[in-house]
Amino acid sequence: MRSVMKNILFGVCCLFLSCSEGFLDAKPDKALVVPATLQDYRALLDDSEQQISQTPGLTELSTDDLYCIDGFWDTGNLTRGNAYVWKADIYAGEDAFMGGDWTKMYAQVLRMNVVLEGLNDIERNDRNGALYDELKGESLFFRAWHFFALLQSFSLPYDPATANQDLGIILKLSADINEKTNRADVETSYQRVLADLTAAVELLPQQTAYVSRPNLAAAYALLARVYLSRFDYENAGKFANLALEQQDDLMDFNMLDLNGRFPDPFTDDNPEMMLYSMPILFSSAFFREGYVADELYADYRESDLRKPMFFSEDGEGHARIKATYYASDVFPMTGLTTPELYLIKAECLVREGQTDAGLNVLDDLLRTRWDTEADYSPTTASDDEEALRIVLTERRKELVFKGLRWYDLRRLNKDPRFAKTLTRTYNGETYTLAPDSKRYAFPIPNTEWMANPGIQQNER
Amino acid sequence: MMKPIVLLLALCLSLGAAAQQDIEGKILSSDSREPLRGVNIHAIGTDAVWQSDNNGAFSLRNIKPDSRLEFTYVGYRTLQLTAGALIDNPIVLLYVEESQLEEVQISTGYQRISKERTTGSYITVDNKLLNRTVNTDIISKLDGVVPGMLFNRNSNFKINIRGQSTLFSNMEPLIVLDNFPFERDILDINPNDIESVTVLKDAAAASIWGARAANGVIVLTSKKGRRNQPLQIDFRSNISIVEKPDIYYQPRMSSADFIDIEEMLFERGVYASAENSILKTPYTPVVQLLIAKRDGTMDAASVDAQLARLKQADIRDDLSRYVYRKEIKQQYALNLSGGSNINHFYVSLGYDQNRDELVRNGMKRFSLMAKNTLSLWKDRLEVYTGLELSNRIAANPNSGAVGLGMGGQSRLYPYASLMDESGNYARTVRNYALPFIDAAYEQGLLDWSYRPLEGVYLNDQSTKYAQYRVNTGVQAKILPGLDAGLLFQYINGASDYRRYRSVDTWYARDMINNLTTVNEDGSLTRPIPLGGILDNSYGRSASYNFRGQLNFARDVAEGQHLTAMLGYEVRDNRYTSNSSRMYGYNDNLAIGTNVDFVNRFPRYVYPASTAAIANNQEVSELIDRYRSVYGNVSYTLRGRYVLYGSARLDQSNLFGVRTNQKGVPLWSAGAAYTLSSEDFYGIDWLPYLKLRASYGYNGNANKSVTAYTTVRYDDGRFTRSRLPYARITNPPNPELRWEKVKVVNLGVDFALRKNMISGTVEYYRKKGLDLIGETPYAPSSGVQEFTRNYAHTKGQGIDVQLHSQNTRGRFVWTSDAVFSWVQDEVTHYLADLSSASSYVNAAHQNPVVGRPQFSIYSFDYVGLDGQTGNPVGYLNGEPSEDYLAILSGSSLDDLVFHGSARPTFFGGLRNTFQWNRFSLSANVVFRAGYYFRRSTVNFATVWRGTEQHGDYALRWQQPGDERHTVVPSMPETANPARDLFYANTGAFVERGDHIRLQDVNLTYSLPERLAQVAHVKALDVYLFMENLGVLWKATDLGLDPDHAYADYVPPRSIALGINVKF
Repeated sequence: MRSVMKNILFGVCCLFLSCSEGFLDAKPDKALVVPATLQDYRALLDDSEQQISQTPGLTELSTDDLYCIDGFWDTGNLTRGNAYVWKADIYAGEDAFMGGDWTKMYAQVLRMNVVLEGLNDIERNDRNGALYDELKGESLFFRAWHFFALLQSFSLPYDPATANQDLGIILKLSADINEKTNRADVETSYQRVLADLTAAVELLPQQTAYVSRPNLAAAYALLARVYLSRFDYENAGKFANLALEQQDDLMDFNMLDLNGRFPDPFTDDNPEMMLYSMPILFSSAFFREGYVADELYADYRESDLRKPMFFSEDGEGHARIKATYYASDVFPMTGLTTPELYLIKAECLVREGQTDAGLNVLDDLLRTRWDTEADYSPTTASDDEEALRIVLTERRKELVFKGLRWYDLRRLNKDPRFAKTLTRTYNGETYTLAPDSKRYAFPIPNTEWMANPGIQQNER
Repeated sequence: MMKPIVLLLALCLSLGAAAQQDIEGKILSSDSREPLRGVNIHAIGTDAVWQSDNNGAFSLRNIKPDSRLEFTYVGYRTLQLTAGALIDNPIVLLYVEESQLEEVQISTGYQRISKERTTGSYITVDNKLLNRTVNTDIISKLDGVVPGMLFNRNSNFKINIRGQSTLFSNMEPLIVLDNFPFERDILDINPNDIESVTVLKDAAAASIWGARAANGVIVLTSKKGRRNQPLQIDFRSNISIVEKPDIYYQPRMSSADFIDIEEMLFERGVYASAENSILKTPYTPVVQLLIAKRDGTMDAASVDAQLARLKQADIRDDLSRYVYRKEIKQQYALNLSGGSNINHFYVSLGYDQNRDELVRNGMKRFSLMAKNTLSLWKDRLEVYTGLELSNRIAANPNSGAVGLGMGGQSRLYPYASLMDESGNYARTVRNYALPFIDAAYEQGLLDWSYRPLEGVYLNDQSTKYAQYRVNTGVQAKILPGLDAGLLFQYINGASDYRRYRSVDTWYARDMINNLTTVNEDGSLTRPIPLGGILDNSYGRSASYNFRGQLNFARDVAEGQHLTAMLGYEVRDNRYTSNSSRMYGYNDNLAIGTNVDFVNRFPRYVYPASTAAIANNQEVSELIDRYRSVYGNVSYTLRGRYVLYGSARLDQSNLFGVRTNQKGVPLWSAGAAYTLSSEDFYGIDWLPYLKLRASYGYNGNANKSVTAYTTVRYDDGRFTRSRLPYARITNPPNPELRWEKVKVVNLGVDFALRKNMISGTVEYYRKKGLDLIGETPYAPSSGVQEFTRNYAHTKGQGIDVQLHSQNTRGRFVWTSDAVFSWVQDEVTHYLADLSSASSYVNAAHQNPVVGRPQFSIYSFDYVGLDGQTGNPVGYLNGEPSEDYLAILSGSSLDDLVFHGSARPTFFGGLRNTFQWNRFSLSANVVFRAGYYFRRSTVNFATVWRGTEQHGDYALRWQQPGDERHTVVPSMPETANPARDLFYANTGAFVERGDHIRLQDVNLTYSLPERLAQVAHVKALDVYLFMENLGVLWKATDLGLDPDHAYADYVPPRSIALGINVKF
């Protein structure tokens, strides 16, 4: 009875309270917030699990790094198998393939635009300046990150001659979901990526507390990656250097348990990690059960500790993935790491004629991968082209399952020396992907042009 | 019948002698025949006043037989008669006020108004009609008896009153119990406590309920006692037996066909990846047999023998035997009511026990209601107190046939058995291949075998609900005609969910095994300790309601009556919940074990992959607040002209909107004219005729959409970084507006002479403005679908309710008919969809201007190709088999429009026959003017070896088949575009029109003489049969149009009941 009385009393209080303005301001759900403070935006940018930084998933199914046995794709969603064999229409009427790359990455673009617009309403002052800049820098960084990934998935490879006409991506720059935009050209899209990153460089801190938050080094590293993809080796090299000035640590593979995993990016310290990211997983089984390309596996030499660390043999001469920087499974870790910068730096130096300097950089990296029991002999090359070939081979070997193979195929195909025709045999049929194939740009999902009919679809 | 005789006698005798004499008599209640104590008897024109004694007896001394006497008694109609009439007939019967036919009161939840003075659309379902059916909940009793009210059986218990006014917002009508909105489970109400139900349909009726009234309002009025009513005890009990569900209802692929497909796929190597999978992907027992046959580990003959045996098996046999059963529902209700001079009370007890059709599932409910109303200070002050308790336990460990599949989602292969020959629970394949499970067991892991019946018989899953409701109110007469009332209600609800899965259940063993590591010395490390897993979830809700209201009702001048009301209302609803999980739980000791939620552990099946132990700690707190001001005025002139107006402003703590959007003003106006009361009215055969009209706005609150960006916080315990994070739940929508529904209602109430036929005909028009709905968006905007204002709609309809008295006398035959026609169309649609596929796909509402909101479209269809059995459609007007191009290239104009997906005509006819003490009534209902799309085989899933639709057997197989089947041939390879195309052609669209015998009630009432012998006042025994089947349907298929997608139709049921009054 006492509690009933108490409740009645409470009710009476409510009645009077209700006359005051505060009554209707109570939040209907405690976990809901209209983001208004820097802490809210901090939380929006901390959604690290498969959210803010995730990279395309279809590209991971389409590279020449991994293959699967016949029948592997017969019991699931067809889009995955179609991407695996580079079919023209990969969605094949699976209209409701809702979780596509396009959809998920634009969802993150919206998130970044929400943060950027929200920050405009907050006054930056001396007390909040550091956090304010960090958040603005991160959201610009991630917008560029997703625009770049979208370009690599849904537009043809960069070609300086046609970049002004080639179809780029939708440059969504506002949080207004009703705004309709068509695709910009490739050059304009690239310029937006570079502009966002250049702005982010001014804002990002040198150190961040978590590998899910980009720091200054990550912004430089992404700039290096972007410039490399547009064959601007001068800038690529420059930003690789700037990034390495911030962070150049390498992990000595001799210190690793070769039967185990890599250090967890969050709970252990992986000194090479600049930014953590993972791909959209269309098929976790593909990475767990797929076989590493035999030609790639054969390229690893005996004293190369990456061989036992990355792969496990199935006893019949084929290899599967054993460990990646993802650490808690064998999925690709598609973020940014220092080895990528060593390799960009080496490639740029070699391409600019500084072959020895370039190979020295490569050696710095490879020494940490070499069994200390065996002697490491420095890399030598008979000519510049061989040096470049060595750097590019080492690049593929080092950066395997770091989300870069598709990007590299696209750009290297522009150079007849390194162009490669991909071939795949699946269920008795042989499929090829020519270096100049239009299928290097994935089709835009049906759901987009259903609601945005003006949009131009990619020719395949 | 007594009254006219008494009056007649009085009239005759008053002409006789006029000498004073003593007259004695007795006063009884007309319905219960109980003596009435303390009735005031007044001789008009004198000071003489008498009162009846305890036995209702009175004795009038020295009175002239021609004196006029007036009998007054609270709760009863005042009676006047001439004293002399009592000499021949000393029994005076007083009639209960509420039983006066002319004075039907309608409860709106805010006030009781006389039906004469209403201008809006109300339908009242009285107690007799409520008692006709046997149900556990009160709302189901309204099915088929209220015009304009449609129970959508194809979706989840959704009620539409006069069509759907909203698309995404709350679609349910508002339910009001006595005075306040009832927002909890309808099962918390004991249906036997409800006296009557009023359904408010138009703006004038419903707008007083404000922002939640757009879907209509259902007002439940609970039973109560009467002043000066002798104690009355009412006992009811019934038992219903429902037939076991027919789970063979939907056409399913035979095991033979399924195994043939598996053999074919095996030949093509489809299972090779599962067989070689390092993740131990499961494959079926048939695939395992085929592997054994191929590898020679079993001889071919015995494999073939086993396959032949499996081809005869049907999992539905075991499901029907071990998982389903007859549903049995028992109900007991006892109530006591009565009243004295200064109070009246009602006390009831209810007990329900339902045994569900799923083995081990069921519900028990205990309910109590106690109410008392006290009149003080010569009736100037009324104090009301009420208490309700409801305790309910729902056990649902058995989830039926759902989730038994190998991956946990799809159906289980059709030849599985649930029980083996020796009577043990049989294992089926789940998550991992059987050889792997057996090898793991060898290593010392727990038996990983999945046995579906373990889940049914060993799980322990139940929810306890407890709630109490406290009501108090005071009503004071301040001035003549002016009352002031204060009402308060507090509701406390608690739910306690518990799911305990012991280590004997697959779920617990799977969790434990999943993270078990085998060490080098062969010992095991188990991060999840051996033991059960206990999940708990507690919810608590508290709701405070306050209402202050002024009521005014009086004749303001000769022939002019004014009623008015002004009120202020506040509601505060809180809901908190928290959930938890314990591992290694020992149910005998009630202790669990600590586990490590922080670190990740390698998975046994694939140690390169790690997982953390799921930590199911969760807390949520929700608050809903409302503040409203409302009022209405009704003016009646000379009892026949009525004008009505109402207005209301609602505000709530809507989140993420500007302050001025937190409220919405709504209003209505109405007029009524009782033509038959006019002096010039001379239509003898139509003695009662009333015309009504109303106009106004209803609103609909949608708390899930916001104008500003809203984000939801998460503690991040499932992420790798474990950082708290936020996700966008609503992108910004600055254009958000409130949904409003404009309603015009025109009605005619009439009665033929002697009430031969009486009824109501209403015509209404509705305009939905700025309706909020979920529409697909271009993903580049950042969202794939978005909830926003997107359409205007208009609708119109006719509701008819008729009652006819076909015969009178010994054999009484009455008919009640309800009929509704409803039509709606979209008038403006703000989204621009281009692809035809999105219209045929029912995942979204894809309104088209000029068409109903819920429509069935299909691809234009040539038919099956006579040579290949391929479905042929049209592309640019030419026959085509380019399915992708048809899917992507068709526009809306290329589609065939069939019609509404919701019934546009519906209603029912209930005939009641009474003969002697028997009463028989049957309700026949119909639905018409709508279409549905039936499901069919999907060949892409045939190619995956998981399809189980029975249409596979009907597929085109050779030229000529196209003449008797609509199911295409099996394609050479999986082709989802082809599947999508033919499944959405007109070949699979069916008319939904049908007539069904909903229910039959047969009641026998014990004759009064026998009742007296049995020491009861009345005794009824009844038989009630429900879901008696479809009498006629337009489609030739075996499907019931109302249950086209269900696994089974609601089975027939029969109930036996008794109702005793003491």
